[in-house]
Amino acid sequence: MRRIATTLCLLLVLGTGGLCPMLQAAGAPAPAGAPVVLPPMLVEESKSSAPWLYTNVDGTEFLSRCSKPTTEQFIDAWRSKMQLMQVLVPAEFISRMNAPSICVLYSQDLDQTMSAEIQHELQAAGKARDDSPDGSRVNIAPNMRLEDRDMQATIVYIDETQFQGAQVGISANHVRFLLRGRVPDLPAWLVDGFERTWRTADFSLAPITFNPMVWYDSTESDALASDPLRPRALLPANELFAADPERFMENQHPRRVQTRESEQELFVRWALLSSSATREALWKFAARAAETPATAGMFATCFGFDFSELRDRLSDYLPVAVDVTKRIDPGSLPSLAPYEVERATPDQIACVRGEWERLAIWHVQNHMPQAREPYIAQARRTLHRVYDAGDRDPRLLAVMGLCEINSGNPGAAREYLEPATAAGVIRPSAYYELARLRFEDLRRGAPDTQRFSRADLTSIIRPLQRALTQPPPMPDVFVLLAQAWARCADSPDATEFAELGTGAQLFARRPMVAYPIALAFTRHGKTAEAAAVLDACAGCPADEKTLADIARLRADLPVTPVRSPAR
Amino acid sequence: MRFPHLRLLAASCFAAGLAHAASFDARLETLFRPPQGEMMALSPDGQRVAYTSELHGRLAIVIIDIDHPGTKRLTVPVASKPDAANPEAEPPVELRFLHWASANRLVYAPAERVVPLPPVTDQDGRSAPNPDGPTILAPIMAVDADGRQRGAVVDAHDFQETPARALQSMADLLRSPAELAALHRDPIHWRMPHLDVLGFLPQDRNQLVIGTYGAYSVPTQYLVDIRLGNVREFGGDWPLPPGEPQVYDWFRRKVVGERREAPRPTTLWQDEDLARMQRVLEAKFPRRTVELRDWSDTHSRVLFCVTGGSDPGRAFVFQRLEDLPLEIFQCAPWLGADKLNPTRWFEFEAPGHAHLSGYLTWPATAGAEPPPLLVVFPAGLPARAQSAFDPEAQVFADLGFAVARLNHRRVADGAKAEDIPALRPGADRIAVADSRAVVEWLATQYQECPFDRGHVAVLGRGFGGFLALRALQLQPALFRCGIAINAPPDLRPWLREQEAGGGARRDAATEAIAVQGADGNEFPVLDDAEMLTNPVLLLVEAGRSAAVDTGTEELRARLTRLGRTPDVLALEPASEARAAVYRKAGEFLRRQFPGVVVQPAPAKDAP
Repeated sequence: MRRIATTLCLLLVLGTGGLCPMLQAAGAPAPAGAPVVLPPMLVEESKSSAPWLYTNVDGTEFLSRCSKPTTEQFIDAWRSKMQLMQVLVPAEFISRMNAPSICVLYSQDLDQTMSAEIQHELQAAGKARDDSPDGSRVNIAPNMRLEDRDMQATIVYIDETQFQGAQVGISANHVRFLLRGRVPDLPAWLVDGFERTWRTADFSLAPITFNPMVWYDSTESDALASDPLRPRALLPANELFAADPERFMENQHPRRVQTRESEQELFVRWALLSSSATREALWKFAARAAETPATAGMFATCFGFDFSELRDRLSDYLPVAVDVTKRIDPGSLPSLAPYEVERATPDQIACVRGEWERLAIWHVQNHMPQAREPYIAQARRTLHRVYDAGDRDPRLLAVMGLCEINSGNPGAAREYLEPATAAGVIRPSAYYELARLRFEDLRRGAPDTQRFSRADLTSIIRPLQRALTQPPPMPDVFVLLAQAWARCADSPDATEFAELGTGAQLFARRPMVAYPIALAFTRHGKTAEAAAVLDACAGCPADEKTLADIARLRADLPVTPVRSPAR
Repeated sequence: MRFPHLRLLAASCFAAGLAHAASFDARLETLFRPPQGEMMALSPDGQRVAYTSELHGRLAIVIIDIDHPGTKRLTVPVASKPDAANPEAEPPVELRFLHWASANRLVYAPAERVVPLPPVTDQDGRSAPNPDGPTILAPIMAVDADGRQRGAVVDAHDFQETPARALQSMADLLRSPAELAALHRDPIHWRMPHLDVLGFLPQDRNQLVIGTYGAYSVPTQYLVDIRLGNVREFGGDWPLPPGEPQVYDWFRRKVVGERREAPRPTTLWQDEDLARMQRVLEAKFPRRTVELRDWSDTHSRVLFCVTGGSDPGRAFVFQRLEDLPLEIFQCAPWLGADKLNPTRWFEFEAPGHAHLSGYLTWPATAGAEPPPLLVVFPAGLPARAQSAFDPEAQVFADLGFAVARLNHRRVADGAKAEDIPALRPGADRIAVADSRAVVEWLATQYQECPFDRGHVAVLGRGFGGFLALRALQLQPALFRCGIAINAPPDLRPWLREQEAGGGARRDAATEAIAVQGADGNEFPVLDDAEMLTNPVLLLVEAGRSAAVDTGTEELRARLTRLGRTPDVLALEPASEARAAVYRKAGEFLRRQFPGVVVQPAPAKDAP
C-alpha cells in the first residue's frame, strides 16, 4: 500500500508518468490524433492573494506560490535527489549551464490555469477540426518542463493537502535532458540505456534501489526470471555500441529495435550494479566513446575483457536483472549548503515567470499556433510590469529580448538585447540572437558571394565569442561563427581557428555543425582540416540538403586529411 | 577448556578446510561435467532446435520452439534410467544421428551397441563361444516436436537373419528365425546386421535411408518410413551424402563445404550464401570461433556454435530477417562467464616460418604477482588442436598459474609429407624449441601483465607427457619442474601400441618419429635420464599401456639410481580420483614453487 501511495504521489508532484510524454513532445508537433498539451498559465498577481516566494539554490531559481514549508520541503527533496543522482552520474557527464534553471511551484485550482482568452481560442480551433468539435483534444499539463538553448524551466503543480517532500522524484526524462546536454555528445546507447535504468530506480525508501528491469515486456521478463535458460536474443557488443552512422543504417526490424532498447538498459544496469569497478569503467568508457566511436580495444582497456565476453556476461546477467532487486548504498553524502526562502521581489517574479511564459510561447507555437497570442500577451504583461516601472536589470532585458524573438518580433528584440549584452548579461542565447540579427542585417541585399571585411563582421563575431565563454556550448553559436568566417575576406587568426576547431570537436557527429565549420576552413585554405571535420561526421544522420552540401564540399577536398583540427 | 578461543579457531579452521575442500571438489565437478549440445539440429522451417543434453545422468534430447518461447522445453530421454543397483552396467549412450525429417518430426539414433551373448557349453561340457548373435542394439528413433509419437522406428533385430542354407523352401522365406529353428533338426543360428543411418531420401524426407551389413546377407539399403515404421528394400540409386569432413546440404542435395582441422576449426564453404553468413557471424563474435551447424531450408535461420575466450561454448540461431542471434543454450550453463579464468587465443610466426599457436588462460585471482607459467603440450599423436575451453587449464589457473596450451607447429601448418625433412632433426627437439619460442613471445607480448619467468613448469599427457619430459631435459633452465601424465618414456613401443590399437595415424609426425628411429636417433628420455635434473611428477594410469607402465618403471629405476626419486602417482581410472590427482599436482607444484602456487584444498576427510 505504501508503495502505491508513493507512486501516486510522484505522479502528482512531478508527473513522472504523465509528464514524460509531454516532454518528449516538446519542440515537435504532436502526433496525429494525440491530444495537444499546453503549458499551464499562471493567474495574474491581481487575481490571487497568495504571495510569491523565491530562492536561488544549487543553480536553480525557485519561484513558489505554495506555502513556505511546502516550498522548502520540495526544494530539500529536490536537492537530495539531485545529490543521489550524482552518486550514479559523475558531474562531468551532466550538462552545465551558466544561467540558472528555473522552477515554478504553484498550487492554484487547475481550472484557473487556462485563461478565458485561451479557452476561447481553443474552442474556436476545435470547431475548425472535425475530429474534436469541442476542443476536448487539448489538455493543460499540470506539470511540464520546457527548454531551449541555454535554459530549462520546470513548472510543478503541488496539491498541498497531500504533498510529502520525501516522495519527490526526478523524472527519467529530466535525467535524459541532463545527459543529452553534455558535450561532446554522449553516445546514444548510454543516454537511452541510462534513462531506462533510471525508471527502475527508487530513491525514496531505501536509496538507491533498483527494481527488476523489464526485458521486452513483463511477460518475457517473468518467463526469464522463472527460467534462466530461456533463449534470449542479444545484440553483439560491436552493434550495441555502434556509432550513429552504423545505427542509422542498421536493420530496423521491431524485434531488433526492442532488443537494442532493452540491452542498452541491461548493459548500463550491469555496469552500475555489478561493482564500483564496473561503474567506474562505464563512465570511463562513455567519456572515450563520446570522443570517438567505441572500439573493442577501447572497451577492453576500460573493462578488462573483450566484446564477445561482454555479450556472454550480459546474457548470463539477464535472468538476474529481471528478477532481483539491487541496491547501491550512496554512503554518507555531504551536507547541503543552507538557503533561505524569502518573499520574491517584483524583479524576481518577472524574470522567472517571464522566462517560463517566454518558453511557453515557443512550445505553443510548435503545437498549437492558433493559441499563441494569449501566451505572448501574458509573457509581455509579466515582463513589462517591472520594465515599465523602470527596472533595467540586464537579465530582465535579455529575457524580454528573447521573448520578442519567440514572438516573431526581431525588431523589438534588438532594443532589449543590445543593452543586455552591453551590460555583460550571463545568457549565451542573448549574444547569439543579437549576432544573428546583426548578421541578417549585414547580409540583407548583399549577394551570397560577397565577402565582408573583418571590421564588418566584428559586431557579429565578438558576441558569439562572448557566448562561447558561457556554458552550455551551443551548436548554433559555432554554426553562426563559421558562417561569419566563411563570408570574411580576412583569415581568422590561430585563436579564432581554434574556436572553430573546438566546435568541430564538441559537435563532431552533427553534420549541421560540421559543414559550416568545414566550409569556413576551406574558404581560408585549411582544406585538410576541413576534410577531417567532414570525415568525422561521415554517415551521421542529417537532412538531405546538408548531406548534399557535404558531399559536394568533400569532393573538392584532399582524399586523406592530414589531421583532425579538433585534436 | 583453558583456551576456548583456540578451540574455536581450530574448529573454524576445520570447518573452513572442509568447505574449501568441498568447493574444490565442486569446482572440479562443474568444470569437468560433460557439456551439452554435442549434437544439435534445426528444423527445416527454422522453428525448432533439438540438442543433446543430460537428464538425471543420462542422455536426453531437448526440443525448443524458438518462435513460441513461452512453450516449455521438451526433454526426451534417449537412454533408460540407470539400474540403481548396478549403475555401471550400461555404458553411457551417445548419439550418432540427430536430424529433423520435417518441421514436426525428429529422427535420432543412439550409437550402436554390440552385446555379446554368453558363451555356451558344448557336448564335452567345455565353454564355447555362442554361435548366435551377438545382439546388436541400433535403434533408430523418432519423436514428434510435441513429444508424442515417440519410439524406435526400426532396430537391428528387425533385420535378424539366418543363413541362406536354412531357407529350403518358399515357405521358409516367410518364417522367422525362431520358427525356422523349431522346424530344422540342425541348429539354425541367427545374426543381426549392423545398421548405418545414411540420410533422408532427397525427394521425400519422411523416408530414411539406412544400410545393413555384417549378418549373412550382402550389404543392403532400405527405406524406412519414419511416420509409420514401414521398411522396404531400396535399390540404393540415390546420391549418397559424403561423410565428414564434407558438409552436405540436405535441402540442396550437394556438398556445400568442408571442415578443416586447424588450430581453430574452420570450414571452407563452397556455398556463397553460407560463406557470407560465416563472415557476418564472425564479425558479430570477434575473437571467437563460429561454426555453422545446421540451417533451415531457405537459409533464413542458421544454427551455429560459438566457442573461444573463457566460455565453454554457446549455441545460437541467427535470425536473418531480424539480424539477431538468438542464444539457444549454453554448453555449460553451470559455468558462468564471470566465474572462469579469462582465456585468449594467440598465434604468431616464429623464426623459421613456423606458425605457432595456442591458448593462454590467465588466473582471475593470482596467488602471486606475477603468476607462474604452466606450459601444456598437446596430448595426442598426431596431436589434435587444443580446444578453446579446457577444464584442466581452468584448474591450474585456479591454482594461480597462467596456463599456455600449445598446438604443434605441424597442426598449424597442416600435416604434410613434405614436412618430414623439417622434422628430421628431432620432432621432440622442435616441439621443445617451439615451446621456448612461445614462452619468449608471451613474455614480449604481455609486458604490462607479465608472468614470472623464474617459475615456469611444463605439463603433458601421452605424447605430450613425453615432450614434457624432453622439455625438462633439454631446457632445464627454463622449465623448472614438470608433470607427465601417462607419458611414454620410450616412444617406439608406445607408438607401435598406439598404431595397433588404432590410436595413432601415420602422418608426418609419426612418420618422422619412425624415420628418426630408422636413422638410429633414439628418443633419449631413458638414455639421457641423467639430464632429468629438475623435479618431475609422473602420473600413470596403471594397466592402460604396457609401454607406459614399463617405461615409467624403467625411468623411475634409473632416476632412483641417480639419487633423484621422482614423484609417482598411480591414477585411478574413475573420475572420483580426479580431485586427488589435481590435489597431488597442486601440492607438487607448490613444493617446487613455494609461496607462488595457491594452496590446493585438502581431501574431504582430512582432519
